[in-house]
Amino acid sequence: MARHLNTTYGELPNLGGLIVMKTMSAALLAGFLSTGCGAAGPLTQHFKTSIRASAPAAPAPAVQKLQVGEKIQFRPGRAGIRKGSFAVLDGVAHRLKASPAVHIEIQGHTDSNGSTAANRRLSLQRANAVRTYLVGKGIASGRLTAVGFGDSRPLTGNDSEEKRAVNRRVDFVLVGNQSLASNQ
Amino acid sequence: MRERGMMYLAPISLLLFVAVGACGAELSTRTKSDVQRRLETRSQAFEGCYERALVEDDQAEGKVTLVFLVAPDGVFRQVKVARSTVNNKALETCLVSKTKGLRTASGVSAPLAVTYEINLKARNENL
Repeated sequence: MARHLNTTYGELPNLGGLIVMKTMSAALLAGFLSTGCGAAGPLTQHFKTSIRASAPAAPAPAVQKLQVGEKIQFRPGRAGIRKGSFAVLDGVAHRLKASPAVHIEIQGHTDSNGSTAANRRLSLQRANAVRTYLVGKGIASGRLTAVGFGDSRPLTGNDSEEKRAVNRRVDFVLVGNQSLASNQ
Repeated sequence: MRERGMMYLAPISLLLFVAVGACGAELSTRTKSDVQRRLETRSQAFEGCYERALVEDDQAEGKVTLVFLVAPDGVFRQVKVARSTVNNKALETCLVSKTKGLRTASGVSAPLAVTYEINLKARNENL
C-alpha cells in the first residue's frame, strides 16, 4: 500500500508544491493505516468487560418433615379436627414421645380460596388445634410451635379441586438439626 | 499556477483521507459491534465460571486477557489466555472454553485479531 502511495506521489509534481504533496501523502497514509487498510496482518480489536459474581450460597438444609401417612382432615372452613384424623395424631404423639428431644413446628396451609387474611387465620387456627390435641396427649407444649402460612406456600396449583386439596394440609416440620427415632 | 494547484490539492487530500477512512471505519464498526454482541451473550457463562472459582477461593479476583482470531467465516478461533492475574487454571480454562467456537452473525472480510480483557471482581454480599 505504501508503494502505491509513492507511485501517486510521483505523478504530482506539476500540480502543486512539495509541501502540499507531502501533506497529501501523509494524509492518505494515515487514512489507510488508521483503518487497518494498510496493515499487512489482521486488524486488531480490543474489548473489555467486567464480571462480578459471588460464591453461590450453601444450599439450605432440606426441611425434614414428619411423615404422617394420612392428611389431617378438618371441617370445611373450620378449625375442628375430624374424628377420623385422631388416630393419625395419636400416632404422631406416640412418635414424639419416643424422641423426647425433638421439637416440631406444626404448619397450617390452605388453598387459595378466600382472602389471604382469612386463609392465614384459618391455617393458624388449624395448626393450633393440632397442637392442642397433641398437648392433650402428653406432649410438652414447649416442644410444639404452631404456624399458619395461609395460601402462601402451595405445593401445586389451585386451578382444580384435586390440586386445592393437596395444598390444604398440615405439615409437621422438625426444628433444628434433629431426627426422630424412626421417621416412617 | 502553483498556488492554484495547492488550493485544489488541499481539499482533495482531505476528501481522500475521509473517504479512505470512512470505508475502513464502517467495516471496523460493524465487525466490532458484531463481535461485541457475541461476547456479551457469554456474560452469564463467564459469571458461572467465576462463581465456581469463588467456591474454591472467595477472594479470587483479577484480570484475564484472552486473545483470539475471528476467522473470515466469523468463528472465534485460537482462543488463548494472553495474560492472567487470577492464578486459577480452572477459571482460565473455563473462560477459554466459553469463548471458543463463538461465531459472529456474519463473517468478516479479513481475519480479526481480538484481545478481550475480563475483569473479575467478587461481589460483596454485605453491601
